[in-house]
Amino acid sequence: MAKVKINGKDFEVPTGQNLVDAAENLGIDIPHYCYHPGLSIAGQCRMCYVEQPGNSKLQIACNMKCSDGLEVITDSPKVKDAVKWSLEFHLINHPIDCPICDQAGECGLQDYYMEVGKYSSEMREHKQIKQKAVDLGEKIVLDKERCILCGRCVRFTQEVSKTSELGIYNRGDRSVIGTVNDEVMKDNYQVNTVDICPVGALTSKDFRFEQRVWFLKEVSSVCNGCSAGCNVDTHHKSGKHIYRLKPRYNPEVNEYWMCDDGRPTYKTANYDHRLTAAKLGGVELPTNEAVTTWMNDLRTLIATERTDEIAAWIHPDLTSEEITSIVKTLRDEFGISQFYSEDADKSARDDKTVDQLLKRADLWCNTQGFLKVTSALKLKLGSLNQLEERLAQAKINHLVIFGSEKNVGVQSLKRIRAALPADCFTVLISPRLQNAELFSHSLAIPSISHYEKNGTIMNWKKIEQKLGSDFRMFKSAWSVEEILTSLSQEYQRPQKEVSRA
Amino acid sequence: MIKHTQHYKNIRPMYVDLTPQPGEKRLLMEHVQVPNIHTLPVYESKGGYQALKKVLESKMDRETLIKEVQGSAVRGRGGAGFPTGNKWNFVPKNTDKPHYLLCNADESEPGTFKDRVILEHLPHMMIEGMIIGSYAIQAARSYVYIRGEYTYATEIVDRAIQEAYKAGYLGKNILGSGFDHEMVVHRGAGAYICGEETGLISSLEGKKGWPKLKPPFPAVEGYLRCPTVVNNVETLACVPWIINHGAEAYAKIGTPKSTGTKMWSVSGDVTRPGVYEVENGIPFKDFLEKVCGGMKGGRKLKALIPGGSSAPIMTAEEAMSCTLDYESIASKGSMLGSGGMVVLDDSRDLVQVLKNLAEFYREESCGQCTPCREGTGWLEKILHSFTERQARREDLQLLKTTSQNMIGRTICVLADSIAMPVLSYLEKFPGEFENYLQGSSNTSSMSGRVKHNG
Repeated sequence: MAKVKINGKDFEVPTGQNLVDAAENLGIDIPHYCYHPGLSIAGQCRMCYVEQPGNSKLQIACNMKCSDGLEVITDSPKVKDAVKWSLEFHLINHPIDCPICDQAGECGLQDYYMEVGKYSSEMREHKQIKQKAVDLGEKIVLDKERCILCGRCVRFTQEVSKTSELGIYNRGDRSVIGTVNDEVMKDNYQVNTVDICPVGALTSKDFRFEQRVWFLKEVSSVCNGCSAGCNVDTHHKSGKHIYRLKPRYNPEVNEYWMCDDGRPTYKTANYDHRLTAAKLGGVELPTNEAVTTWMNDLRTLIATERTDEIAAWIHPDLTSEEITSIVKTLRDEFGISQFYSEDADKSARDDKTVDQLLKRADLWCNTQGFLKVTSALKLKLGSLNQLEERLAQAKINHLVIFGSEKNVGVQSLKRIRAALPADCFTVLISPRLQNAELFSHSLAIPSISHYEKNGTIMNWKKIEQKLGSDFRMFKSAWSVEEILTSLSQEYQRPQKEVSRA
Repeated sequence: MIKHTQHYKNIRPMYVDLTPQPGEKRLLMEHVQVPNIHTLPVYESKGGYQALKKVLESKMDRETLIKEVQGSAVRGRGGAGFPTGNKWNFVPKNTDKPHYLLCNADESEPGTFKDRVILEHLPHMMIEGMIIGSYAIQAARSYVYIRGEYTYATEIVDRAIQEAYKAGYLGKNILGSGFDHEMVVHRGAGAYICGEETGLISSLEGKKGWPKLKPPFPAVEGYLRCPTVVNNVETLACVPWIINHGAEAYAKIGTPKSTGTKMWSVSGDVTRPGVYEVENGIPFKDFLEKVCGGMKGGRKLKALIPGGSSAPIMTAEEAMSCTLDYESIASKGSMLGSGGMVVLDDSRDLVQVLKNLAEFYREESCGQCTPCREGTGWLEKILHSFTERQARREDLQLLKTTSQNMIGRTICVLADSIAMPVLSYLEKFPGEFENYLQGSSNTSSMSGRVKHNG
């Protein structure tokens, strides 16, 4: 630890920590644009001025490491004036088109303008004219006029994704961000540059013009794109629609970043992809009635000791709690013994890095948790091939499918559908509409999507991470635990003898 | 041998009259007029490479060598005036990393062309200085970073280096001392900022010529993150003389704090513009009259830019009362800088001069730091509004505050290089700006030139 003095107060901070970060942790805001803790130090935005006693020249905080005896002042009139002017320099050629800019509401220029701005601009000359709405490929649009040339995006492609696709071209106030020969970007981590862009210069095609950021709420979650388990914030509006995912800092997993393949995983949670009501043979019914209907069939089989005709299909992107609840209810309570799943052992065995960065080959987000829970509960699991075989032999009369919302799960579901005999009673529990359409004759019960879940998943490094969602998008969609608890209550409810239809 | 300039036709030396003038004291330029002094045999016949032999044949202790240069108190001739010996001394003694010496021949400061004389006529003096400097800082490789536009000079330096290799002054085991040294010429691509030492290092590394954040300083982490010394051409050319004649002899010349001589490139309204070498400390008045032949056409001196375009301007009175050394010029609020002297007579319009400079600095700002990138453009636009007679009275204050907020706020000093002149012109020649305000059609604050786009 180092003893430092900031604004006359003594603090103890980790030795060697960057002053901007140290101050931020202490609740002292040092304005900055070009500095980003995950990138090298550029020192070019000239916003993070601090004063050092005995030094008439202002220093930049981003190039200072905390060490014993460091003494700085961040709020003197001299510093404030310098920051105000630095911001003014940033703004003189900026178009100030906030009303039509997607960054409005989360823009560094707006934030600091309110805090330290020089409200009456004296710039009366023509602004520099640069290209607007430059297409950088499938994912990003660049506005060169809004760009403040902090260079974060350039350093990102040089230092993190290592594609060096972006660069700063030209000199002086003609400087612009761009790619070589205006080629499109192919970087699979490029949307991170949109996140770290402090202004509205780089905007994501997926998000731009979709929603004003001040309507969005953030909930912490974990990406379900692969076994990396990148920490994300889910940005949703009133719990009705998810608009984007942004990486959340976790030094042990993903630092500040996530890959572009993980970004659109929220889409399956939104209305267009969702099973929003329980259905029986295509006819909608309330979710509780659907559970009763399910129980009725199940009860008959249990009562007649035909539980060996019941099977369940599960997959490794359910949370550990969901898997536990499935095993406890279906096996321990109802005596169902046949469980089939994707080959999690193989997924874990074949898991490897795809790009030396974050992305992993295993596309299931909870393979490790699945293995841990199933082995702790000593669950005997069959493979997809074995399930197909049993279905073909018509030895299964009642099949419970926990259908994944991911595309990768659909392939297996298609195979199961193909092998399914017509008279097998099928219950599909899934958030995904496409799955329900695949099993259109069955009983479909809507469950919640990954980004609405509250539970635990384990990534490839065996780090257990919490999904901390607090919103539900559709009343009719229940969590797997809720469905099973309801089922269990239904089972325990005294019933009249009902024969199987 | 690589012909750097083979695609250029009709390249030729700079036209400059190098005849010694009364009042000059020539240490470096002593033999500049000797025909073919740029070739090795002629240079050797005039005592060339004796200093190198003195150092290497006696295997002079490196500490002693650095002490000798420190003793001469020679200061960097590129502009900053930092003591050269101290700079060499900052290089860490015990590192595993290779060391580098870079010769800054990217002479681009408007008004400065003295290095060009050395490069074109006395390349061996610079090379000799570089080898001695490299020996002092234990650099196995040095680079001459030449301004891209200096095509003829590049050719001359390149040939001189080849000659030095053949004569055994470069290469393996130089003069049997066991010291190996390689020297490489690198041409710039025409950017002023690459003359800034860390900008030069970035450029040499193959990157965009952006100055680097300090600390770390180049002496610790410079070219390829190795200890590096960057010296000006003239500074390095001083080294052989210091070794040959001793630090004491050098220190005796000039003033106690500005030792030795300085090469001045004089342009503007004087009878004899050119490159002159005079003892530090001579009065400007004498320099103007004796060396430069007085004002052209008998006109009156109005202002003096003493040390290249980035030096704050001096009034005629200040100029006439100052002596040509670092301290005296600094006491008048300007700087000796690179010694690029621009003399302006009473027919000159200083607002136009300043606007012209602002255009240059706007063009050459690398665009890295915000105050410089945006500020240089803004200053130029405001000055343009003056020359277009569109300025408002408030613009005087605006020029001042804008400049004040650029000084000392950036990675390198390019922002200061225009902001300081702006402040000095405003302070010393307010009448010049007043002339434009008087004639301005937009004296009200609701200026007609207000036009926002976006």
